[in-house]
Amino acid sequence: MTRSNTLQAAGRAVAPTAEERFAQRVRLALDQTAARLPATTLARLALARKTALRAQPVPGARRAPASELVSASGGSPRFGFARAGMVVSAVLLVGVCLAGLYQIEQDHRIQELADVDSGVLNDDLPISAYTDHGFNAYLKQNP
Amino acid sequence: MASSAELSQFLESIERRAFKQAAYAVRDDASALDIVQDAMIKLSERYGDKPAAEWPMLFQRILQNVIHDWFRRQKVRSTWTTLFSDLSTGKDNEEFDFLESLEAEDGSRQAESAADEVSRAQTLALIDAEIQRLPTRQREAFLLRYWEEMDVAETAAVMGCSEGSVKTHCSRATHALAEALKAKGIRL
Repeated sequence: MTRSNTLQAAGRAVAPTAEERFAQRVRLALDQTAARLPATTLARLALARKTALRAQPVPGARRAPASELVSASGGSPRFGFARAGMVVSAVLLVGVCLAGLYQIEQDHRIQELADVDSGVLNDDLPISAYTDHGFNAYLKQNP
Repeated sequence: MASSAELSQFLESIERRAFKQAAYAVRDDASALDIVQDAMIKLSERYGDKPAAEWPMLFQRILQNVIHDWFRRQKVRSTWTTLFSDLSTGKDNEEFDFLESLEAEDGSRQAESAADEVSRAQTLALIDAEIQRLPTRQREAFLLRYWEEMDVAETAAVMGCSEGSVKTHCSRATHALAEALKAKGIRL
């Protein structure tokens, strides 16, 4: 039994309801609307069909990679594995660059602290002088 | 395993209805074409080696999923482009190119008068608009049940809801359509 005869076949057992009769008439109107699609739309649908057929698995044949499949509306290509790989590589590259920058910044800070420490240690003044409030006040008054 | 010719024949038999379903949902012909192609490719890639009898159900499930994915992507995109997100939607409601419809005519209609043809085209456009205006779930149920001619169980499986919900959606859609068409003086 074909799908188009489903309602009629059902009708043999049970008479179609008013709802089903109305829906049947709407269906006919929808079929007419679908039959009046513009030629450009039909051409694009045909192209979509051909593209889809290339993706059908065939034993012993090479399957068209997703990256080769084009958009039905003539837009950008589909997002394939090759593109996904490129995006992952770019993200990894950015991550490595950021980690490198962080490491360089840390080295700079350590170097600066080491310079301050060595400056303090090489000074003639004892370290305790820097913690003396009176000495700090003296330094502020006599820069 | 189903042949390429069988798959081609199947896709050709459903492509127009699939396009209209997608267009009713997303209200944009270019997006609808992309959705139909995505659904076709997924069916072909994943289920191209299945028996042809399984394709109608599988294709409808894939099509509904691709449409839902499209809406998810639109939602994400709209969070980034709030200002411009709604500019391109809802513009096709009243569009109807009568000249384009003439291209699809067959020979049997050429004998009709111009007035009859205009009247028919207007009626079809109004029905089209009213279908598009239905709430999403009601429209999905109505189209799957009565246009794709699936039974209640198949429709419920595709929509991921109970059979009772399908019956409710169909009933509401039918009554809403009947009332809207009656209000516009259309008798089917």
